[in-house]
Amino acid sequence: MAEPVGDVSTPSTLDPEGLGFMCGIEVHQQLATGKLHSREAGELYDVTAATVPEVWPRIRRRLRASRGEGGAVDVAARFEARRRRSFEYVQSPNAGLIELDERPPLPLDDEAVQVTLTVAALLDACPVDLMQTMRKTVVDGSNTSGFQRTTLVARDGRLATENGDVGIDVVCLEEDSARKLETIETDDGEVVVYNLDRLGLPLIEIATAPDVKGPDHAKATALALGAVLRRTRRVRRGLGSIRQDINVSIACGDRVEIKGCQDVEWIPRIVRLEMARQLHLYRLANTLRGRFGQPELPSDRRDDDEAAEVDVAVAASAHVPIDFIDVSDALATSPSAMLSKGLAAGHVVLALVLPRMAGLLGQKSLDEDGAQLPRLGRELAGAAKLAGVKGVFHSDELPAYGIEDRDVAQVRSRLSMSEEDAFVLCLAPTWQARLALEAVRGRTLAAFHRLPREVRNVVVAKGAPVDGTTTPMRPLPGGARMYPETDVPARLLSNEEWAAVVAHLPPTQEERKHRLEQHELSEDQIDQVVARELDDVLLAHLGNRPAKALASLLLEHPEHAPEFLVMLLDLRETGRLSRDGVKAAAQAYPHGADEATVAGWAEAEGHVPADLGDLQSIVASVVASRLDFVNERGLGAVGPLMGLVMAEAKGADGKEVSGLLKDEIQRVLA
Amino acid sequence: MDAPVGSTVRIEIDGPTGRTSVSGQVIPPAAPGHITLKLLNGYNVSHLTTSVTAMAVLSGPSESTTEAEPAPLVASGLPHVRIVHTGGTIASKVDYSTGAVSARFEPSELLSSVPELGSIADISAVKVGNLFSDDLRPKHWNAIAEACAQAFTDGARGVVVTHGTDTLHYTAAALSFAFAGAGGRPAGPIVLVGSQRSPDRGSSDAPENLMAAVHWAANGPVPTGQFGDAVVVVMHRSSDDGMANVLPGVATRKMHSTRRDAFRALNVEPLATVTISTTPATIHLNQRYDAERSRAADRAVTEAPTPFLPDLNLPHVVATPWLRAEHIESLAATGPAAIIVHGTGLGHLPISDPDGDLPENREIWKVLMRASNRRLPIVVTTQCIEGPVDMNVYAKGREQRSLNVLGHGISSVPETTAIKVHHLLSRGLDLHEHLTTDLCGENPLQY
Repeated sequence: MAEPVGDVSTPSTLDPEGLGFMCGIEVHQQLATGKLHSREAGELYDVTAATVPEVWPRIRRRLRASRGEGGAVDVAARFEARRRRSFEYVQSPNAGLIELDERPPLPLDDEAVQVTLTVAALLDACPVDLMQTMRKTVVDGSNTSGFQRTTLVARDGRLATENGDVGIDVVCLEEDSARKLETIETDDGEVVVYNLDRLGLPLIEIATAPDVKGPDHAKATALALGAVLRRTRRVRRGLGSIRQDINVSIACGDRVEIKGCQDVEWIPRIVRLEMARQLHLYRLANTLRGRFGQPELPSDRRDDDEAAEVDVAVAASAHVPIDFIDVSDALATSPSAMLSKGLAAGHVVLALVLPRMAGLLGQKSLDEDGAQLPRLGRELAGAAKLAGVKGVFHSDELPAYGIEDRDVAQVRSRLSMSEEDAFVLCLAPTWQARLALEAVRGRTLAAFHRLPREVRNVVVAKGAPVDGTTTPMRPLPGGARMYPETDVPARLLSNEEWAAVVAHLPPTQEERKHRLEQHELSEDQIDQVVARELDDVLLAHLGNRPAKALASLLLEHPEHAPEFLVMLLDLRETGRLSRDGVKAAAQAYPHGADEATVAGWAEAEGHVPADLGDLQSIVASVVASRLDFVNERGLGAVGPLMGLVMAEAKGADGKEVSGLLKDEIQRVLA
Repeated sequence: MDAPVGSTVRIEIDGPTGRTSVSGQVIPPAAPGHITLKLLNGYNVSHLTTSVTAMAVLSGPSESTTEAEPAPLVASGLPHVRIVHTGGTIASKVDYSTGAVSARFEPSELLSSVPELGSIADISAVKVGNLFSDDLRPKHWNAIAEACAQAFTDGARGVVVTHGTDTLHYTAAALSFAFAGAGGRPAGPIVLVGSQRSPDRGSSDAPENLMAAVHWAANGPVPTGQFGDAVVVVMHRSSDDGMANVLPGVATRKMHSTRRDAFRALNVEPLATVTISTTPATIHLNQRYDAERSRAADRAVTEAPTPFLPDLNLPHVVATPWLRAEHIESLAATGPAAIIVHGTGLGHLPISDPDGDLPENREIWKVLMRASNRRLPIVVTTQCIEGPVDMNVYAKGREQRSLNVLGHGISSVPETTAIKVHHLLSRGLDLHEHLTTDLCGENPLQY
């Protein structure tokens, strides 16, 4: 393959096809059912670290690296263990012993299985005959057990999109994780506080094949998957209820999974920035290899020569020292507040020298849309942050952060460095600074090769992406982190069950609208009723009732049960409740009421429409008593006289009164 | 349509649920009539073998790629702790042929999975068995006691017995009587430890329980043989990680089928706590225990633990609203050494007939009378689990005592009472004379 072309500082100009772009999407959609393995309510509480009720119990735990099916401990898990993180779980009212990992799980919730099978059928996927729940090791504490339960339900489907079919690799049913409330830093490591309300909520995971053709197609694919999921009407709505992961690679890069793309609008930009990052790091690898006299990295990962890479790795490792030097004393007089505060707390500044790498770490600069451009320094900081430190300082960006030229010179002299060399500093408790710099060294050595296959997170602040760039989270896990969930028996799928699912697929939006068009409804009402998923309810209750009136009741009073609204409508239709009385009753009985209660209330409060005969005579007498006014104003008298009639005929229907007034005035004037 | 387990295959499926093809490694079938493949992404996929229309073997069985574990670090100068391995969840792993958890672990694996143990003690390990504790029998108590005695002979400072949790407290009580029932004490701490969550998960309680147990064995006070300290149980103190309770072996019981803090001291407070969230771990003795042990008379070290008669017939019966005389009679017909009755409340049985309309109760009274005549010991304990058996409070109780029903004055959990009966009978001692004598702290009067 030819050398990749493109300017990384303008990601929007990169050509996916020319760069050997490959992309697949994973969506995770919460179902609107109870919890998958515990039958607790699927409720999310609106609390923050500051507002968690004090009565919610808290449980402190740690997780350890455990062995996978093959008996080996995951590298990520081992690193995680050294971070000394501990976890505090806040037990929300919908979290019990199962969520606390104090009781074995229950079998898969049948409702969730049915929804998943329906989605599988809509995607033309082939279900497995036996659903086997697996444990997927998760070491960040977001699952109290240390793993996520996940069940493969179907494979090998397809999704139609405007740019052609996208293959569906898997449809899974898994449990959602706990929600992070806050992270508390201590000298003994982080304490991460989680709310257990979301833990165990069912999620459908759909992973597409790498058939996505470009950044915009990625967004279109995500939207198409969302539409399929919503067609079931059993999915949760709202922010956070659907999450997209994007797998991206270009030929000179490698597969990276990006998590946290909650807003589909951001997807094209996130994808383009990742393409730019991969291109930059490929070029950087060759610059590094050039500096150290190593052979070039091929422009396509398929051409990688494992033996050659081992030689490069050995050479690189020999160039980057393994010892970290304590330079706290060289920085003791620095005016940096961050440094003096840290040193006073007993932390140290450890340094790692990166020989002949001055200028390669890079300084912060932005692309045309204000996103940070890729640079090695940021990758190193990302690696260090995984050790729990806030960040690192490196020589390409100093002086900065209150660290002055004088301080830099002292560090350089303390490290006996030449101008060509770069250094990275980390301020933290000794154990943590060591761990962070080990990660930095590891990432520096990796920079000589194809970029690491890893899971990355979109950088988010206040619930929205900052600029569409990402930070590393963990290495891309392999199949080794999955092993059977022995507490959940395998569930058989019978032919009859599958046949029933296929026979009862939910209609499409178009089919739903078409059904409504058979009834007397405005176009706007049809759109609204379908968008708000009220059409099934409407049709179920329609009977001989007026469609328009029922539709507007359902649309205006989402807080009420349809049965209550139908009862109000029936009272109105039988002349026992006025038009205005319907609205008043809906307000007077926020939790609903039975028919007799509402009818009695309407009598007492004057919400029964006046008898038509009575109403006519009231109108006639009012008109007669204001004849001069009527003669003077003509039909313009209708408005002013309305009030007089309404005052006499309590509960009368305004529309009816105005009609009668108009008729009477016309009669008198004629 | 067979491929050996471990080989990689591609199969074509055409069944009632659709047509597809799938590639993966063959693993033992998850259900009869199915073929199960492990996919590259880690999921296991099963299809009916009758739906498989074609199979291509892509490669033969691969060698196991299990990484060799580094040998555990042994720091010199640390106390020698012997781990006596008996099985249970703490030493279990997933059996990939059945998908279930099984007790199949070598002691060395236990050490390599918790490398921290190497910095607490100089560890040696022996295997007595690989059983779930629900399968254990009294003869196993003897084998475990022997292994403990051997550990001390070999110079161990303390012994940690890894054990399934279901009957862990039975074994704890049995070892207590074996080492301290006859007036002696073990040479050093004997600790029973288990886990409620299997070690294959990151959240397992096994590593912390094990660390706390080894810490106590290495650093805990030398047992007095009294106050229940002869043999202790070390397990999670609460649902939190970070602290373990040290519980008296003769006054502890599994009180929850699944929680980490299932084991609780009954009728007495825990002897101590071990905090392992700090480095190094720290021990806090219970104030009362600390005071008691400082005043305690010295006991001689038990070189040879008292064995239990392995084949003693000791049936149990529960006093319930359904209890009938035949139930006790049928047990009596098996020739038991004694019958343990789990009485209600203070230790009662349904034997009264105040209005003359409960002939079934009168029948039970008669059965007790016959047992007394035949000198068959009937020992009552309480279903309340906690609190004393006291047959002086109600006339019913006094009536039972007049029928020679034993147990009055005991404040042990039911299991401990039964094991004490077994211990006394194994020593050929008379229950009437010795049952209520406190031997090693099994009869605490704290609550």
